[in-house]
Formats: sequence, C-alpha cells, structure tokens
Amino acid sequence: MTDFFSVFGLQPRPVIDTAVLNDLFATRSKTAHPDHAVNADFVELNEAFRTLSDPVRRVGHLLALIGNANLAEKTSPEINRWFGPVATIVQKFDRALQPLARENRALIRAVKIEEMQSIVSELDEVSGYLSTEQERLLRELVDIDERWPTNMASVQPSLARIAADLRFIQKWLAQMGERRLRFEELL
Amino acid sequence: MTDIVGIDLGTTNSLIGIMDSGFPIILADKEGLRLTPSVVHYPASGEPVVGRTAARMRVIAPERTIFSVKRLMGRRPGETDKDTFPFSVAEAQGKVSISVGEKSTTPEEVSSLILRKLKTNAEQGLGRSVDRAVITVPAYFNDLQRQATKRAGEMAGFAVERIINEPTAAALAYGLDRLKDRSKIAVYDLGGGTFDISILELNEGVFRVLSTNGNTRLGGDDIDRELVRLLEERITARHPEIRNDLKTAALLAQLRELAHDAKLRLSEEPAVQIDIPFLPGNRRFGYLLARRELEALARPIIRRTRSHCLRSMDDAKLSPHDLDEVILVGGVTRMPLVRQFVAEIFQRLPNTSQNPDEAVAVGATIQAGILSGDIQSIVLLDVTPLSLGIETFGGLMNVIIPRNSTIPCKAGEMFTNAVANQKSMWIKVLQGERELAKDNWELGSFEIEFARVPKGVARVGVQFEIDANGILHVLARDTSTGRERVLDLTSAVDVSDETVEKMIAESLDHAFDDMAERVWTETAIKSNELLPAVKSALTLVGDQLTDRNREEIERLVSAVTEALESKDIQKLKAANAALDEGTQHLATLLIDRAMAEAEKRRAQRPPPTGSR
Repeated sequence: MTDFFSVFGLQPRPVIDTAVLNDLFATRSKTAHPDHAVNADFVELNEAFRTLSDPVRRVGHLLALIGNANLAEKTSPEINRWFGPVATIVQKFDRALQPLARENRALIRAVKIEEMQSIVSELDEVSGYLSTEQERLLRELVDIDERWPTNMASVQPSLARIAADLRFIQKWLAQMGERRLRFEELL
Repeated sequence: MTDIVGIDLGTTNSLIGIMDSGFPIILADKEGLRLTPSVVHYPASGEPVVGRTAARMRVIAPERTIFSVKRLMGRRPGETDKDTFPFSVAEAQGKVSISVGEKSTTPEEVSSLILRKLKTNAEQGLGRSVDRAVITVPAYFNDLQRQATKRAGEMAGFAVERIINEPTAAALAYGLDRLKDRSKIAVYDLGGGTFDISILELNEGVFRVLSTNGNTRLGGDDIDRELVRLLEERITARHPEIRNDLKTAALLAQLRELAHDAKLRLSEEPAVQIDIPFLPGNRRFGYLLARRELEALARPIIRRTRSHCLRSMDDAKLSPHDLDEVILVGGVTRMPLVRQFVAEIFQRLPNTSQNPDEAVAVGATIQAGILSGDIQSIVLLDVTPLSLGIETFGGLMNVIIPRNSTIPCKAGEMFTNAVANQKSMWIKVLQGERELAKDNWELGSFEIEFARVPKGVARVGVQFEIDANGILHVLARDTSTGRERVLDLTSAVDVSDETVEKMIAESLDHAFDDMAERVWTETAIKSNELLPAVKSALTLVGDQLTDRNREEIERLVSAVTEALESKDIQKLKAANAALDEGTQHLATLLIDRAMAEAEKRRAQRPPPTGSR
C-alpha cells in the first residue's frame, strides 16, 4: 500500500501540523494538478491529503503501515456511556422537528419553534460534552506523538482505541450538528 | 493554440470574456454592452431572437419569450416551479420541455441559443472564431444540472473545456492580483435565480475551496415575484372592480418589469415612483414604493441564505473571525439589506471591490487562461458540493464520496454476488445529503455482471470518479478477469406519472367517507391548534404589538371561537384563514425572539474544533 506520509516527504507519526500539511498540499498541487501537468497523480496526492488531515483516518493509516490494521477497534467505556444520551436527544429532536418542518401556518410554527428551544439547548449541551471528550482524545494523541518514535507494541492499543473513540464522536457531532442546522433553517 | 473563452451563463444576464496579453477582459457586443440578457424570444415565424432584443419582447409577447431558463436546467418533472413562468413548461416522460406555439424545445436548447449568441458576439469582436469554452454553473448544481450545461455548450458549437463553479470563479477574479496572499475568504453569491456560498483558502496562488453550500432555487427572481404580488394587491385595493382583469400574461410581464426596475433603483434611492398608465378599463395607477417596503418583502428571502452560510462554515470548521474577507457577487448583493445581512452573519463589513455582475465571467476567463497555459501561477482546487453514494439494503444512502471532497477524486467500492450463479445486480447512484435514498437525487443506475460462481465468490470493483468539472464517471473492474469497462448511468426511469395516478386513485378511495364530518373535524383541529398558539405568543411577545394590532388579533380570536360554536364549516374555515393571516406579524416577532436566543447560544458555544 502507498505510504501517504511519504507522498509529502513526512515520517509516519500520530500528529501532523495542519498548517504544514496545508502548505505542502498547496505546493505539490502546483505541479500535480491536471490543469498544469499531464501525467502527475493528483488523485493520489488528494487522497493522501484527505487521509492525513483527519486524525481518525491518519491514525488508521499509521496503524496499517506499521502492520496492525486488524487491531480490534473497540470504543472505550468513557465513550460507550454516550451512546444512550446521544440516541435519546437525537430522537427527541427529530420527533419535535418533523411536525415543525411540515407546518405552514406562521404562528403555529413560531410557537413550536419557541417550544423547541429547550430541546435545542439540551442538544447543545450534549455536543459540548462530546467536544470536550474530543479535545481530551486529541491531547492524548499529542502526548503519544511527543514520545515518538516509541515502543510500538505499547502504544498500538492506545492508538486503536483513540481512533475508534474519535470516529464515534465525529459521527455523533456531525449528526447533532446537522440537526442543529436543520432547526436553524426553519427560523 | 486556439483561444478559450470564459462564459458566465447567468439566470438573468450572461457574459463572455477572453485572455488578452495576460489579462482577462470581458467582450462587448456591437452596441458596446457587455451584459447579454439570458432571454430567447420565438417569433411566430422566423428564427429565435436572443439577448436585448428578446428581453424587450418579454412584455409584448410573454408566452413566446423564455427567461430564467437556468432554473429549468437538468431538472426533472416535479422540480420545476413551472407555474411561476408565463410561458408553458411541460413535464412528461421524465423530461422537462418548453412549448412556444406549436414548437417544443428544451432548457438545454434555449441555453445553447444564449451561448451561441455570446459566441457570435465574441467572434465579431475578435475577428476570429472561438470554439473552446469554460462555462460557469452555480456551485450547488448537481451532476444532472452540470451535464445539461455541458450539453448546452456543445450544442452551441463549443468544446466545453471545463465547467467551473461561480463563487470559485469570483474568488479567482478577486485573487488574481493577490497571488502572494495567504488568507481565508468567503464568497457570497446571490444572483437572479441561485444562491451559493463558498469558503476558500488562498495560499500563494493556490485557491483551495474548503466548503460550499447553496440553493439553486433562491435568488432575485423571488424578490421580484413578491414585489409583483404587492403591486397587484395595491392595484386591487384602489381599483377593486378590475380585480379579475389583472391576471393577463401581458400585464403580469409588465408588472414584473416594473418591479425589477424598481428593485434595482431602490438600492440607490430611498423611494421610487411606479406608474402604470394603461390598466384595463382605461385606469391608471401610480404608487410611491419605499425601500422599507421592498426590504420587508425581501427579508424572509434573504434570510434563507443564512443556514447555508452556517453550514458552509461548519463544514470548513471555521468561525466568522477566522475569515479575512467576505466577497460579494451577484446583482442582488447591491441591495443595502443584503450587505447588512451578510455583515451580521459574518460579523464584518463585506468586501464590495468586485463588480457583482462581472466577477464570475472574469474568473471563468482566468480559468480559461489556466487551461490554455497563459496563466501558470494559479491552481484551483475545487470541491464537489453534494455527497455521492449508492442505495443500500433498506433504502438507505451509503456515502461513497462525501460533500466538499476536493476534486478530481476517486473512490472504490467492492460488490459481490448474494446468491450462487447470480447473473447481475443493479446499483442506484444517488447525490444529496439525506439519510434515506429516496430523499436524494437519483442520478441513474447501472448493472454489474457476475461470473456464474458460488455465493460470495464473484468480485466486481466499481470506481466512482468525479472529474474536475464535478461530473461523475463510473468504472467497473472484474477482479477475477481484470476486465474494465465504463458504465453508462441509465437515467432514472420516471415514475412520477404513475405515482401521481396512484396518489389520485388513493385520494379518491377515501373521498366519500363521511366527507362533511371529516372536513369539520380537521378544520376544528386546526382552530384548536391556533387558539392556544396565539395565546402563548401573546404572552411571550404581545407587549411588542401596537394596541391596534392586538385588538385586531383578539377580534379574530373571538371570530374563531364563535365559528367553532356555530358548526358552520365555511365560517370556521374563513375565520381560521383570517386568524392565520392576521398573526403573521406576531409570528415574525416570535421568530425574531427565537433567532436572538439561538444567536446568543451560538456565541456562547466554543468555536468548532477540529479535525482539519
């Protein structure tokens, strides 16, 4: 498989400075984009950038490179306890939003929107907790990166767990963010 | 090397440009004008007329004069807003067509006539032929709309070298003399028929789009339409006896023209006089329209751009203070209300340095320069606006290429046979952001063929590729034989006729179940929803109403209560409608309150953190 780190001349590691990566992508694009070059492989450069930009994909790629893509990707108990609250608030939100989206009488809509405010606050609260968890995990990743290169066997399980946890948080935050925006669309 | 022209194929106006000694210039026609109205007139006999001459026919022969055809490009039956056009739009056999007299034409054909006109103008000005073009589309156009635009270009005799997104093109125009900059900008593009918002990162000549969002049926046309409605109301108020004579195509076209002009002038003046000297029955009508009135009508329309702006910032993982500039393009952004609104969303004064009518065409011309090799120092990295996926088991959408992926890009998916000796399998390709397959656009479907082997043994890899035009290509590769072939998407079979018939049949089935009783119950339910809503709204924002408004609402409430007791269905319906109408302002106050609260919460939230 292609080492996406080496596409940018980087060493494989858990954290890549976003600003550095952005600049590298910009510089490489000048010679690799099909508008300027016939044979260069922009699609691979693009894929490499997409992979390294996102912590979940980046760590997954790193694990695959060091030969352990098959590590069981189990989420941690800290994250497992969020499944319930996220599902509950998302369902509650959808139940309130659907009749609102269909309503075309201005006043009834306005009143329903007013009534939804508390559910929206609740959703924001859960998103807030998840963002805090996300920051904690990203800090943990930085800690591992600061000790890099390191004893692989000892950090692989942590990396796999962080990637799994982050993946769920990202998915939840995206689901909740999407609902938040659907609500704002109705305002 | 032959020239490549850059074309802005707009809803209202179109422009064409070319690189001249390293600079993009917009070409003028014989009369020295650079804007060509996107209007085509079909005379009763003879060839169609395009541009300014055609635009003058809008009032005289509205049913033979096609405008805003961009709103129909790549649309399917059921997506056309066909009732808003004075000409006849037909939807049959999965296709949209336009009828003029006995002649039937397509949106692509009409667009190709506009493009041909631009081509002729350019060729006359340059004294040589031009046959390669870059054509712009709204960033939020889907695959079908892009393909339709490309086909229109080809029908006009162009080799279409690139389909480029309008806000991205505008960003090129803005950034051309800022190639050393590193900055983040947003382009807010509100045109005649479409709205786009794009966020870009400029990095020493590399223009990378971070996110894009928009609405392909939101624009200045909508404001014109509201203004026409207002004028009709004012005319009927003064001359109630001609109420029924107002709905003629010619008069509506005249009103639309007057409304459009008034809207433009109100960007400069606080009030404008509108005069209609020839109303039916020799009546005349004069009205002093204040900017304030226009703004009251335009506000809800402009407000609809807000959620798109928020979405694009969320997707780019940026907050307003991360942006260095917000660039305005599109004619409607001349309205002071729009500028004020953009300033509120992005918490900064927008940059109005670009000519809102020309920036997109200038950008298309710059892209033409990049493709022809005239410009070496710029790279444009655009994104696909909508997620691409396939329908999976259970009618869900499985995303294969997420929205805002940098293009060109590829993604693969492996398919296997579900039972032994299965010959083939149909895959539906979808575009959109909804979770259920049926809520997204179906781009078409393709068939993959399997060898006759036991269950789970056949393997066919399918590659989805979005090219630099944002257009999809599908390639299938049988891993056992290594054979590759390009798959044609079979366009979605139109089921709408059938569905409609079925819906009609179903509604008829229930039509005669104790009709009267049901209608009464449904109407009464509506009243019983409205009454407590009014009460609660009055408690929350009632203090912001004038005494008169409040009394009026109370009167309407008692009318509904009385009608409920009377058991008179017609009376109750009328009372409900009157209360609904009479509480519009109250509803606006309540929504404003909700918006203010949402804004407060948004300000308290930490900025989006992230993975980018």
